[in-house]
Amino acid sequence: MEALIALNASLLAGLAIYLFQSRNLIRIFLGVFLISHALHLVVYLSGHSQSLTPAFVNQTTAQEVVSNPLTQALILTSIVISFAISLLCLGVVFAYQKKYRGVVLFENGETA
Amino acid sequence: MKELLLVPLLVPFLFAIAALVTSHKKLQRFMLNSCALILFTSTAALFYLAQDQLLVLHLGSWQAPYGINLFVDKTNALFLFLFSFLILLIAPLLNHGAKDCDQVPQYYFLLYGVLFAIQATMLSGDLFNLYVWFELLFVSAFMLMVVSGGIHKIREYLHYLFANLITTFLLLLSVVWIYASAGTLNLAQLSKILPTLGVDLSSWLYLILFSALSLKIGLFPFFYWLPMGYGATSHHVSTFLASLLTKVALLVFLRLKILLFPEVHSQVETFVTTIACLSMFAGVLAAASRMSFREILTTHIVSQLGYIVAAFSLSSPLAVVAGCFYLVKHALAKTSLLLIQSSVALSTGLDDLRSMGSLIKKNRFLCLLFILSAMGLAGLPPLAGFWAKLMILFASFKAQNMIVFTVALVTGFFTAYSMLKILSEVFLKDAVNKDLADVKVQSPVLGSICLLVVLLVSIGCYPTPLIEACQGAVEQLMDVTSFQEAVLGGQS
Repeated sequence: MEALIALNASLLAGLAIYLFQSRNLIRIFLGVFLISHALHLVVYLSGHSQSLTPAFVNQTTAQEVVSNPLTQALILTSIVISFAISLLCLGVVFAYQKKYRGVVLFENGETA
Repeated sequence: MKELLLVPLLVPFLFAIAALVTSHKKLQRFMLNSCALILFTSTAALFYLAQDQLLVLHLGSWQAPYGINLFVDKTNALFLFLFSFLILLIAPLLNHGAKDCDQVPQYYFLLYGVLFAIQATMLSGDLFNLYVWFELLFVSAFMLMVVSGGIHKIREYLHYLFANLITTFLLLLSVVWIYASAGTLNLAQLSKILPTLGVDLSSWLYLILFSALSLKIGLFPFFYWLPMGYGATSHHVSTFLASLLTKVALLVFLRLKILLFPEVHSQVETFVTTIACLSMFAGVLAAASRMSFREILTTHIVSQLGYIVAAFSLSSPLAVVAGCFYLVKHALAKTSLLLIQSSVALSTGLDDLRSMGSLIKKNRFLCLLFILSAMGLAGLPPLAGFWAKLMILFASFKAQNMIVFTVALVTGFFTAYSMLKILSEVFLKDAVNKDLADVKVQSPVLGSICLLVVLLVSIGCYPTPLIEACQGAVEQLMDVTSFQEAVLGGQS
């Protein structure tokens, strides 16, 4: 399970880095979204817990190995943050599109 | 008394909410001034209290390893006090900036957001919490730049956005990696566990954390976002951000390095020192080659922070004290220079060195202030910069690190050159355009500049109190055991 998630995360990160090579602003930001999802998976892995039992302690679960609640809280936080970042990126795309009538950077051989 | 720790956090937060619903401009100005004043008094009180004991506040009464805690030690207190002092001095300029802005409530809201995030980053005692504050700091600073500089310059800000997005991902990765290795996020508990995990692992963790923070600090080779972002926004906001923002990341780096990574491989230390030396040298060359008043000053930050990182990476107590002293002096001198630059740019509308000149005829006093603060920055006696540079040179000599010693000496020469370039181009040479507008500096801003220059001169003449304050701060910072006891309360 851990190996599968790790593979998934690295695949997402690789895809994101591929998308970063593009000049299209939307593709770059798609890369940003993907890499943040890869990071969420990494956060999940950092808990070292393969258990799927929720961490509510009662008589039956107290004896079992429960999943790590802290990493779930961290993922929740970072998902919220990446939502906000996504919104910010979309706003930037909107502003760019409004100003330059396109979303491709340096379209006519211009430089920064 | 511990509840006082919440004041620097809650005050900007409440003011941010109030700013969103206030449309009256005069009230907004009054609110910013009073917020800066409250921050100043509360951090002064914290500075006073921190001299006796380390203040720790467990939020929601959750004991240390389980809950998030805020703490103030002498280092935190010293720099929080310094930052809020600078905020107080920049506040009139920021109020002036609201006049040209067409989204006043948002402008003030984001301003308070930056203040809030700066204070919170300094106070936080939890690694993940620290990451969240960094994210808040970046987003509100970015939005503040856009709102103040105008949305039509969106392309210029993209560098800032991308560099900081990548940085926050790297930072999250390093935080998570540290959590995966040590199983905790509390700084005090991490400082107990991480050094026991072996030098190899800590070297790796240190490297990835350094790469994340070095982007935030703006070190070589990824410092391009700094002058580009600051070059596009309005002069008020670039003064504010350039004098405060990167220093926060630097202080976080210092704390994490001393607390979590007391021992790493010597190659890694050499790598950090090399990056610092390269940014010292490349930063000053990049600054000297620019032809814009503001860009010379903002690019120059890279070189100055390179000095401080080099001092920190030597990790002897003497070097860290030298770095802290240098940081204080750098913040004072740079803020004064940026205030001069923004008032010149705002009253004449000029920023390009080629089109400026003969400002000395318009305003002799401003020229004198510029010379004094530039001397303070370049490290000429009898100003504060001289002692700062001397201490760094002495510390690198004692550590027998001749690379840092040589690069620091050579860079000092180029620093003086870049300041002389501004002096001759802006103030001394004959103006290309004969009918320049008068340089009128607003009286509160002029007062701030004068105060900063007086401080620089008096620290230069009598540096002992500041050196002692830095020494006390660094002693407490390096005393990791008492920090652990204060936070964890004696339990394991």
